[in-house]
Amino acid sequence: MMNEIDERIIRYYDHEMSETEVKDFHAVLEGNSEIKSQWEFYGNIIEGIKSEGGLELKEYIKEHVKTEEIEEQSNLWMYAAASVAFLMLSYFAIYSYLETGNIKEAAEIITLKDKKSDKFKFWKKDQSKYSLTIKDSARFYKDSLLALEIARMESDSSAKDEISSPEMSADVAMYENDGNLESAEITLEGKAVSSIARRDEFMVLTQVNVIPIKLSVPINANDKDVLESVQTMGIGTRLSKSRISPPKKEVGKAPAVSDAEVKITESKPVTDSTAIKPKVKSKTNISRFKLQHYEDENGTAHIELKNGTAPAEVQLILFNIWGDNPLIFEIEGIYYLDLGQNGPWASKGGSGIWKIPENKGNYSKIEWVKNKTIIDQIRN
Amino acid sequence: MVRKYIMENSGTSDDAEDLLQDALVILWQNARKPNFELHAKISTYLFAIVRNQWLKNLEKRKRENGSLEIAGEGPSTFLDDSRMDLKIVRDHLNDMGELCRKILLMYYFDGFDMQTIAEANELANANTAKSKKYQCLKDLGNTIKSKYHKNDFLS
Repeated sequence: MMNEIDERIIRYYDHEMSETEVKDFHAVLEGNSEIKSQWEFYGNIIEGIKSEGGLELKEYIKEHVKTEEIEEQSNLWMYAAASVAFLMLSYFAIYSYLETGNIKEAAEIITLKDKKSDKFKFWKKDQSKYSLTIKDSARFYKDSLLALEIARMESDSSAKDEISSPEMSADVAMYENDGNLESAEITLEGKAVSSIARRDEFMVLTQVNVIPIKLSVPINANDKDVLESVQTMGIGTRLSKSRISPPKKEVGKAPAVSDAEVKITESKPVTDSTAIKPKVKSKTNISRFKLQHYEDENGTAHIELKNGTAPAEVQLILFNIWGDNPLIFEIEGIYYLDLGQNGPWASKGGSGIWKIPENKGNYSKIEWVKNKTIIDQIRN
Repeated sequence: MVRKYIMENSGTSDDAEDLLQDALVILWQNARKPNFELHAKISTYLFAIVRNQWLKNLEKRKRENGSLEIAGEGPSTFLDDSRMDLKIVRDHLNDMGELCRKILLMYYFDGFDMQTIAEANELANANTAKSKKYQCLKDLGNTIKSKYHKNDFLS
C-alpha cells in the first residue's frame, strides 16, 4: 500500500499525472493527513536534491571563475557571459542556445580560451534529443512594431528625463568573436537604471550610450544614387562579427571609448570594384545615441532611442520589441538602427534595420530599410 | 554593473559576486525548462535576476534587523544552505552510490529526460532509468526516515 502511495506521490512530483489525476490527488491529500505528510516529505527530498544541484553548480562557477577568469575580469558581465557560455558548452542539451547571438559570441570566446580545458564537471554528450524552445526574438511582437514617435524634446524636458537615483553606471563591454580576437573592437558604454522620472512606472532594464559605427562608402563623383543601384557589395567579413571583440590579452577589460575601432580585415571581390570600395571605421567625434530597454506596467518590452543633441533631440520608440545587441550605423550622414536579422520581423520579410529619422517635431511611422545595398553594407 | 548596483544598495562586492553566481544557477535551471524562452540579452536577464534576488535579500534583512545598515553580515541568497532538512537530504544524497546521485541530480536539478539519463549512464533504456530513479529516490527517503522522525525532518 505504502509503495503504491509513494509511487503516486513520485508521479505527482514528476509531472506524470493527468489534470484529472492531479485533481483527484489533491482531494486525497486534503482528506488524508498521513498521505499528505508523506507527500510533503518527498517534496522536501526533491527540494534537497535541487538544492544540492544548485550549490554544486554555484561552487563550480565560483571555482572556474577563480582559477581561470577572475584575475583578468574587471567586467562582471563578461564574467557572466563567459560562465554561462562555459556551462552551456558543458551541457550538450543547451547547444541550441548557441544558435542565438550573445551566447554564441561568448561561447566562441570560451571555446578558444578553454580548448585545452578538461575541467567540464558535468556529463557531456555530442548529440541531444532534448530540445529547447529558446527564441532569439523580440517579445510581445505586435503589428505596432513600427510605430515611431519623433518628439521634440525641449531643453528643459531633458531634465525631467534624467534618471532618478539611485543610478548605476559602468562600462559594459560586450564581446564578439570572429575567430580573430584581435581583429576589431568597439565599446558600448552602458548604465542600468532603476527607474526614469518621466515614466517611473516603467522598468528600465538597461540604458546604453551607443557609438554609431561609421560605414564610409566612397562613391563615384556625381553618382549619388549608386547606393540604390548597386545590387551586391561583396564585403567578405561581417562587420557585426567584428564589432565587439577585445584584444586577446585584454579579454574582460572594456576598451576605452576613444579606442573604439572596427576594422574589416578581408574582402571578397566586389561586383563593381570601380564603383564601390567599402571602408569601415568608427567615428569618434560623434554624438552618441542613448538607447533604453524598458518594460511597461504590462511587462511589454520597448526600445527607446535618443539622439541627445541640445536643445532638441530625436526620440524614437519601437513599441513591443526587444532587439538583442542593437547597433547604430552611419552611412553618408544617415543613421540606422540595426536590431539583427533574427527578430520577429524576419518572418515578415523585414530587414531588422530602421533608418533613424532626421526631422524633429513630427510623429510619423517608419518602415524597415528595404534597400539591399544599405542592408548589405550594414550586415556584411 | 552588478557590483556597482549592489554596493550602492547596502551590499558588498562579495554580495555582488555571490548574487551573480546565484543568478547563473537560476539561469541554468530556467534554461533547462522546455518552455523557457529567452527574450532579452543574457546580461539584461541576469541583471533582472540579481536585482530581484537582492531586493528580496534587503527585505529579509530589513524584516530581521529593522535596518539595512548591517555590517559584517554574510550574504544570504536564494541558495540558502541553512535549512536543516535540505542539508540532511544533501548529506544523504552525497552518501549514496554515484549512479543514484547522478541520476537524481540529472533528473531533478538538470531536468534531463529519462532517455538522456539512460544514455548518459549506460542504462538499457528510458524505462530502466526511470525504475532506477524511482528506486534511488525511495532509498534516499527510506534512509532518511530510518535516521530521523518524519515530523522532525519536515520543515
